[in-house]
Amino acid sequence: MMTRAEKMTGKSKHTLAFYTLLYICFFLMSSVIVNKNDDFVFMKGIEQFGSFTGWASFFVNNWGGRIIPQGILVLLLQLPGFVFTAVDAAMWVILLIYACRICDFGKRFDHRIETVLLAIGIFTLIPAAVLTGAVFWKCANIMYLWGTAGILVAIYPLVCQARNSSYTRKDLILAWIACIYTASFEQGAAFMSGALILLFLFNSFVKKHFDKHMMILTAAGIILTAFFYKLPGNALRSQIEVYGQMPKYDMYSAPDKLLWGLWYAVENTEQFMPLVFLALSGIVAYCAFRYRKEDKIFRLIGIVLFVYFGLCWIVRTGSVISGNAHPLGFIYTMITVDNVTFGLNLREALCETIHIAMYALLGASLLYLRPGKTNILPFITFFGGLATMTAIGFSPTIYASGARPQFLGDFFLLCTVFVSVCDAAEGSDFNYTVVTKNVNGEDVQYNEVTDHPGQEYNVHGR
Amino acid sequence: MEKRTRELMVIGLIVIAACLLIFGLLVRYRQENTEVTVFAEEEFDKGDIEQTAFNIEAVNTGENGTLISGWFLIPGLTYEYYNYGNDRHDSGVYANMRLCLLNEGKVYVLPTKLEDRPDVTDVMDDGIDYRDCGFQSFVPPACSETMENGKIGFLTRDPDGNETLYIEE
Repeated sequence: MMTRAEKMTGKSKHTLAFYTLLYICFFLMSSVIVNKNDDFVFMKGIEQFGSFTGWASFFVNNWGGRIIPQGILVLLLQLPGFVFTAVDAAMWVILLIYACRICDFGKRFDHRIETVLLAIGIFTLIPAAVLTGAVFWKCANIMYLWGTAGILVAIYPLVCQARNSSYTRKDLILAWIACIYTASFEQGAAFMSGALILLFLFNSFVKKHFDKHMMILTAAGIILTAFFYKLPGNALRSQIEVYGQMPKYDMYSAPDKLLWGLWYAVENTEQFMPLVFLALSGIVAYCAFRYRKEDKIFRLIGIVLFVYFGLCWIVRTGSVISGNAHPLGFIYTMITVDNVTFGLNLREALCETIHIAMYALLGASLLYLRPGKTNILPFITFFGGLATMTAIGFSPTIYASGARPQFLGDFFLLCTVFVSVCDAAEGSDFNYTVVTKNVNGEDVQYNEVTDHPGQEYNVHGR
Repeated sequence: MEKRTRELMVIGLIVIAACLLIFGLLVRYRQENTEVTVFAEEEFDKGDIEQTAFNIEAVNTGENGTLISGWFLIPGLTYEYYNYGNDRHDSGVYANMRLCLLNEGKVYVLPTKLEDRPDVTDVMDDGIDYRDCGFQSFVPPACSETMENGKIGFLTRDPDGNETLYIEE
């Protein structure tokens, strides 16, 4: 008979073996990444500018604010190739570990199964063109893969608080490191800052749990993001891309660029990942019928969303299979500003307004999959993911970057599905226990679902 | 407030905010595409039309207004830059032009959209890719009289934001 300690040791050994195997798999995968294009330029960065500081000075003044990730790349490229491979494999493992922690599967699945499921999701649901551009090119990999891992690590302490659990000192230190790193990658930094703000506000005002450490972390995330964004190289790089990629780009106004970004986000995700929206609307409908049996409005919302995004899936998939535009495609067509037509077609405008309204309804519904429980995480990953893609409308490389900028959006939409599935899962082991202080200053615990007055649903009672 | 009511209110507010945002964007988009802005001629620096090359290729009038299409460029005007990503010194054009109508000291700036015209680059054959030098401009019915009686001009903007008006002789 094994003692509890021996069992724990056995479990730890299995966990260690699993993650070692996972690391080896990613090491082998990362080893196929060879230097190409910009990688060669970064490799000779120190030689070209005399020193690392010389390179850094040139970079921030002439080529952008991504000084931390690309500075690390410059250093790594001075070392033997396997060093990059080793660090990259570690980043994959960190990404999966933190994604699983944030998705919070509870105890429904073994965490190893969760990790494998998520890895399979990344490599099957995210389009190959996106993966090739974003994670199989060193220069992009250190931003899209490492930056995405950085976002997850940076927001993790706040996610813990939102789930009524505590974070450790180690979590906080890692969050600070990740925050500094990610702030230097503008697309990831925007997501991170938005997520930090929303989570901090949610924890402070909805959960009534104000934490000064989190306030400082959030403020630092915003300030660092603004700092790196305002570095002179960013504006110069943008102008260079206008000359090199799209000379007419400055003809478009900011509202035009926002419309353009929305077109980019919606068209690309619906075309390449229509299943995601079908799944999310299905989860909303399932939860409405499962948990709100007497509530006609929520059930109606569920039906409307499922029908709308179900038809969207049929139209988008039908177009791909047949190779022709679907006769109902006009319902889901977004207005593109990059054309030479004038005026506005009323039908197109109406369809686009309904389209965006449906996205808003879907994202907002994810907040309240369970009655009486506000889950802000799928809300953040859903709108944040789409926002990172929309932001590309403000870059003259909207065409030149290809599918690469979709990585963050696709990944977080995938996370939204995982988070929502967990949230919707019947009989899950979510921790709804809130620890707070009573009027005498003593710690008290209550269940935010079962102990709230007027709450008809008991999550632990089923 | 009952939780369910609060939940519905939050959902409703998010949907309304999204609708207002997209409505605002579309209204603004329509305005920029259809409305003519009027300025006094002296507000702009004048450029030498002889230094430009252009061609008005088609003028099509319909019920909703007139479409003018053609191309416009300033031969040889490029901007040098260093592309660190591929370690190359290069140069490129900057395309920012709006077609104008001039009448009685006023400049009517028309909604204009630019497009790629590789055929023009081929004809110019001076080693420069003029890329987005094609244009389509819209003249609303209210400006049709101005179009008949006035001159055509080209209002350009350089990367520093300086505007220059080139008036057809």
